[in-house]
Amino acid sequence: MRRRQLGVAIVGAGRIGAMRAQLAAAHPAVSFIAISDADAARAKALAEKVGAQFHSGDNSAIISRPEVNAVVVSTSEHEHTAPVLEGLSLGKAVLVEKPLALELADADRVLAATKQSKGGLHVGYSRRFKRRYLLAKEQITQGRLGTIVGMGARLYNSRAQVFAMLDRNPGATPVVDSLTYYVDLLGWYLAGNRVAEVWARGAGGVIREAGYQCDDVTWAILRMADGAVVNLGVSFALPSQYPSLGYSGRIEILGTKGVLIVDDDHREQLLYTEQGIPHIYLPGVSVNMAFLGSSAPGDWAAGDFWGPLANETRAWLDHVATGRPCALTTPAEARSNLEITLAIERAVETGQPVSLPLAG
Amino acid sequence: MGAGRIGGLRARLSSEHPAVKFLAVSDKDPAKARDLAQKTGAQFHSGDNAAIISRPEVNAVIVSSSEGAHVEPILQAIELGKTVLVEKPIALSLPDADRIISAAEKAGVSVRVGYSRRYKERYLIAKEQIKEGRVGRFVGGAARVFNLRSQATAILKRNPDATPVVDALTYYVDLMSWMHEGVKVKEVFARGQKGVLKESGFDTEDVSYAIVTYADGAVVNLGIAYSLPDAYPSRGHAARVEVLGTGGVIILDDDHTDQIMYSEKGVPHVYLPDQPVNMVFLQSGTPGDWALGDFWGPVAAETRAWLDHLAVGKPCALATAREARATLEVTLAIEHSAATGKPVTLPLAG
Repeated sequence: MRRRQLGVAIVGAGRIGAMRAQLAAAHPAVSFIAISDADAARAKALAEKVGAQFHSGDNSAIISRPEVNAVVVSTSEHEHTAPVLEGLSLGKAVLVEKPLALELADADRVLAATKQSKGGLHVGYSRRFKRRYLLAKEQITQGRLGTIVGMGARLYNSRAQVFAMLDRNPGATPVVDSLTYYVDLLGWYLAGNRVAEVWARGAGGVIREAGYQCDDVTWAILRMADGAVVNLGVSFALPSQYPSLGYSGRIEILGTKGVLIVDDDHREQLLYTEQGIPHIYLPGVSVNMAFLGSSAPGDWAAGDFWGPLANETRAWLDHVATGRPCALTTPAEARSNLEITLAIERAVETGQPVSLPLAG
Repeated sequence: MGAGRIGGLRARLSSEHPAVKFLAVSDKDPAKARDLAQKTGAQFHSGDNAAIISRPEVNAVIVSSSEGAHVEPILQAIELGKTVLVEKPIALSLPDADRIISAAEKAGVSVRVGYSRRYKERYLIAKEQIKEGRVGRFVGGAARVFNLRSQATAILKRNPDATPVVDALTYYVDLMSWMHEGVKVKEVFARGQKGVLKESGFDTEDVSYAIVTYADGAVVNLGIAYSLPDAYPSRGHAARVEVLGTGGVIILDDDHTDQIMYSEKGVPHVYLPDQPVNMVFLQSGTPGDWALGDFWGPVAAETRAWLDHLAVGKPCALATAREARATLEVTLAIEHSAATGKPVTLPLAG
């Protein structure tokens, strides 16, 4: 029964990094926390909030601390690679937010580094740790669907979210940034199968009208190597006051022996309040009507954080501390997710089907 | 015309309509026609379709024969100047649909097509919202329908060309085109996968997905799986329809999971009478449901709307022959795309 003490470095003190830090600070195995951010003051503020022992404006300074054996990389999407490589080269366990990288070349550098490293790498596709998706995986593992012939998944979010995302990173897209979670679930549920070809179409609307290069809705049909068909969709153009505080998702899986329908729209928990409810990611956005439980990373309740991000962080820390297996996405799975999302984008852009593997 | 499941319902509903004073039923099996006539108090029955269409008392003809036998009776009715309601799909080929349209327009006779899903209230209400401009410009949408594998084998046994796509997804092609009225489809891409239906001897996909692009750039996603296990609690279509607009979104859950009955006694299965099911989603019966001696649901509302339209001139929302042809074309394109693995550009060559 292994029990290791953990020193955790949190690289990036933004919204997700802050949540990771708070969750790490509450974990029984964590006895040291260091926080870094390009904005040194932000790192300091978070360090004070969680009682971290060290903070810095320099990522390397915290990754290389001798007390640190676990590194969480929560920088923005185009800045994952360097801190991940550094953590791996020092033999530390690394958790990086999704997507692993924004280009396959970077993802491949990271995969190569994992083979040379004593540390390990997992990728934070935290949707896996939303209980309904965990339960679905278990049913498939138990063979209750038979052979999977088809799967559909779609994800909606409000335009307020997409404008914030595009302001932060104009090259970001709902497909690479968010539909990727459902591509990850597809890979997890249809493990052992492989995407062979992608066809996709998009339609422009309010987001283009607002001046961004981004479609309102994208639909994609994927053909798997064994002929199974997967249908994916994403729209980040729902009205700003739509009652969801994050992802509205659905997954449907059709098998020769069964069908599984997961409604992740959260319509069964309604709150209407004249006072308004703040959005977890969008300061200044509040709604009067909310689907409770729809916030993507999870929710604060009774002084604790509950939801996929909490479950995932705890599972990873338990894994690093005790050696217990965890279900987080592996580097190879994350590379595959990236490749599929890039293929979807390419299929929309070119209007042509795209075969996988992608030629670089 | 046609004393099967749907014809039987149409007859019963007609017999109770205040404006209907004469009812004649026919079926190629004269005994079925006679039984239905007895049940509904019809004045006349026959084993010959032409015999009832040509009755002088008849001014409205409902064609409820099986999908492959629509054309001739419709043309006969048009020739005699009698208005027609035909079950979907209007025909199984575009040339047949075109014969009907051409004859109807030449004769000035109305032919409406029974896409009765329009008359499920949630879809009527959604259409109203779009008409009132409440979702802005239609950018995209999605519709999918699931049903039991025994439903698929039943329709395929009746007519091997009546695939789930042409026979059932057609309702949702019609709905989405109705929601995005007046805009043509320019491209279709579809893929499917085979499984249990093929094992049962039908060379049809268990599941198909399609992406339909309209001339104005709107993109609609469609899906169908008529392959669910036979004890799955739905007794008909389990569907969803979603509309994405610049000014709003509409999400319709038509899976009927909000009305659950578990019964130890069991409920007769729609197509497998020897296999009662214990758990059902109430109100999932596709045409509607019997309750307290009356039939309630889309086929009832649609039949009444059509008869009211004929009797008092009230406008009705039933699909026109031209709309039905456009829908048929999209479903044929979906089949063609799935078979070839390539996108299909519309219009199809005849």
